[in-house]
Amino acid sequence: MTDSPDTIVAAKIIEDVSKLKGVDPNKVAEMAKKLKAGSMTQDDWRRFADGSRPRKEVKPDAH
Amino acid sequence: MPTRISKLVIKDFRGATCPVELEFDVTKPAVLIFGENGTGKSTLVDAIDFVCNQKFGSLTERSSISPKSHLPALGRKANDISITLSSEDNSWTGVMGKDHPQYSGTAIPPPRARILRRSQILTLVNAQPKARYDALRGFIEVPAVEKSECALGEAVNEAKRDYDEAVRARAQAEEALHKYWSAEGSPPPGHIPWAEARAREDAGALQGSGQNATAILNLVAALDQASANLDRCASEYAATTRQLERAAAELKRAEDEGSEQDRELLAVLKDARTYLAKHASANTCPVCEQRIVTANVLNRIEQRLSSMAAVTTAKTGIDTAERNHKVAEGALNRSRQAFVGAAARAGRELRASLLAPIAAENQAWDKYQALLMPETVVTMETMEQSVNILAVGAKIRTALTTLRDDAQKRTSQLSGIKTQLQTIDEKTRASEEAKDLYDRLAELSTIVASRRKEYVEGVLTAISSSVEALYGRLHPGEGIGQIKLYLRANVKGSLEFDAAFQGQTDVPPQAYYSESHLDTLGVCVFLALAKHFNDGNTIVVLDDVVTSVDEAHMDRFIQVLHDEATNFGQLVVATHYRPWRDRYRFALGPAGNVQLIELLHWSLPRGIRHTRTKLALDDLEGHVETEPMDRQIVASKAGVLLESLLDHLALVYRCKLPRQPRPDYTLGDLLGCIGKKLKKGLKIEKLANDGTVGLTHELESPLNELRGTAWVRNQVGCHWSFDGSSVADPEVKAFGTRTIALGRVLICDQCGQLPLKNKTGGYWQCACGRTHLTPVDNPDL
Repeated sequence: MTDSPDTIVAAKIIEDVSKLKGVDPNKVAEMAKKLKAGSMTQDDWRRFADGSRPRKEVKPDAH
Repeated sequence: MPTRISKLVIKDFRGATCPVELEFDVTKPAVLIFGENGTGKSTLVDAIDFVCNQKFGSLTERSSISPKSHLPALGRKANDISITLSSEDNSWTGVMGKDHPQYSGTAIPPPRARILRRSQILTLVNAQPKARYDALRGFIEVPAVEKSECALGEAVNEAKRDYDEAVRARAQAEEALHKYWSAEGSPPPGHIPWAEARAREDAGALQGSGQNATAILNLVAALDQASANLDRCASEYAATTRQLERAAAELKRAEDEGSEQDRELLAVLKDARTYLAKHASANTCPVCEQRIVTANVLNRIEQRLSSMAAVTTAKTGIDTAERNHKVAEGALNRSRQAFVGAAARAGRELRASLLAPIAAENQAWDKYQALLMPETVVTMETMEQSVNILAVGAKIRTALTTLRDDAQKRTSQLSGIKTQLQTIDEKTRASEEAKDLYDRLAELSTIVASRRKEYVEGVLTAISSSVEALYGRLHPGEGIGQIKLYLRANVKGSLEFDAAFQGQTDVPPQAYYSESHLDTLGVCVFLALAKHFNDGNTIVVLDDVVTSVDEAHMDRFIQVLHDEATNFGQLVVATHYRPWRDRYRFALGPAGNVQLIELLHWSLPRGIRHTRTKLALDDLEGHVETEPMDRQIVASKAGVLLESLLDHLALVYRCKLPRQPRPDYTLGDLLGCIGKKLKKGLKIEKLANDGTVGLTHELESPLNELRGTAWVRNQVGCHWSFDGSSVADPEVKAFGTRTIALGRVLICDQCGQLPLKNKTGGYWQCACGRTHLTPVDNPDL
């Protein structure tokens, strides 16, 4: 059985997202499921983006 | 063997006011459902849509119509609807669910039906790019990803709003600081360093001096009030003293005017009046014990007292003056106490204060020891010191008020500066975080959008070449084609397409193509998409998609459909276009590969009715074999069929026919146009299953025989005459039988089509290539 268009596109998206700096593989896997199901909500995106955001390096003498 | 619909049973659905059952021939890849307008074609197509796709069908495209309410047949309810669609292995029954159609049956879902309606073609070719995209949405949408992408878009917008809000709040705080700084004369180096320096100031000291000044000003105000009260009391005391002196003088004057005896008598008379008023029933004098009339005596006492009123009034006046004087004296003493108390409290606060205006007064506070003792008493000394404190208060009031107001203003300003600096700090952090989040979300959004678009573009690119190939087969050498479908840049869900027209590329086909060219373009796009997403079992349904196509294009269109039908599970074509049906009936299309269903007149009590369309050859054969034979029908039908066969030969071999305005040639014309050399050389070869020549038929003899009996058509089949009546049945039957024989020879047994194409240059062949006609060219020309 051929993959559905959603599955194909979701796989491509996940491929790109996995290459982003600082992403948690577990969260990527969760996103893959939700993308295919069409259930990624606004909050899900925010949480993912927030969690995968590269943290700014804090200089030792900053504090 | 792909999944094909074998049976469709429809109850209480749209035009199916009575149950209708259609059997499909699963050995044939295509089904043609022919019916005049209003015979129920769309009902059948919608029934397939209902079960296979769980959709409402063509009603969805009609505005102001509630599909759910109007799907049931007239007088029926949504719950009455039942559509059973069967294949060879499975069966599915579609019913109306709560909001949408649903099916029950085996665990295997029903086959996917790709349905193209005329309205979709119009939308595809004529509508705006957005509507055009929507028309193809069923093929190119990625609904789950699009839904998630929509949520992502909202998240991006919200993050942007958060960022903008943080930046705005920061700018607002900076502006507020700038105002404070400007009000202070804009000291260098700038408003932020100035504000930071101000924020480091000791707010407690500033607040303390302000509070101290406020407290002293309140005490000075209280002292002022006590002083004013003291002045008022002193003034009232002086007034009562003067009143007392005047009353005393008045009494003295009244008494001087009367004798001592009068004063004693006055006292006796008053006592007697009091006694008698108390003992009104007494009838004896308490002094002389003589009998009296009490009322008379009281009257007399009043008369005598009146004569002595001056003394009485004077005495009352002095009593009042003495009382008032005593009250005023008390108030004066209390106001002195209050004044001294207020002065003592103010003096203590002044002595303790370090405020500059007070220090500037340089008071010798040791001189105020009596006043500033913990328990202050009113003495001349303390009164004097209180007056001095009052004077000091008056002197410093203005300076203290200025000091207090300034301290309050600076305290408030300092609080504002600190708040704004804090806001700047917080909003700077918030804006940085929001910017980071926004950038990350935007990055994700770019990925999702580009991947979705890439997929859709990929599909469109893939089908563009397929569309081009299909279109080229329909319109060879017409200077049109080069179809390109693509998404409009930066616009979501917007489909564009360009084409070539007479050497000009990338033009909008809507502007240059004819209606029939646009129709076929829409069908080609649809077929290419259906083919791209075909899983081998897809059922393609064309619902009355072609209206105006000339004969040449119709033949090519039918050929393309038959060529493509083998790619799909099944091809179902519904049409009201009779020439399409008749092409199969007269073997101009591959009738062997298509099941022909004909819809009869629809009526409310009988609903949708149908019948199997008979091929002209089969039809004639049936009439020839029927006893008693209907002579007229056989002669007439044989004539029409023979005309169609001869017309085909005449067309293939470009036979010479009389020139006339319309190509309405008679049977005689057509029989006579086949020249001697051609007739002698005409030959049909039928291939066996192994590809070798199985049977060979020469046509000269059958054609000659038909020429000898063709008169039967006119005599029996067309006109009334006694000559016709004298024609014997065997002669009529022979005409029919010979026509049938010619037809059986010319028409392919496998595909049911006449040899129409010259693919190899060596012979004319039918659709399946197993019947060959030679020669290729007319030797008589």
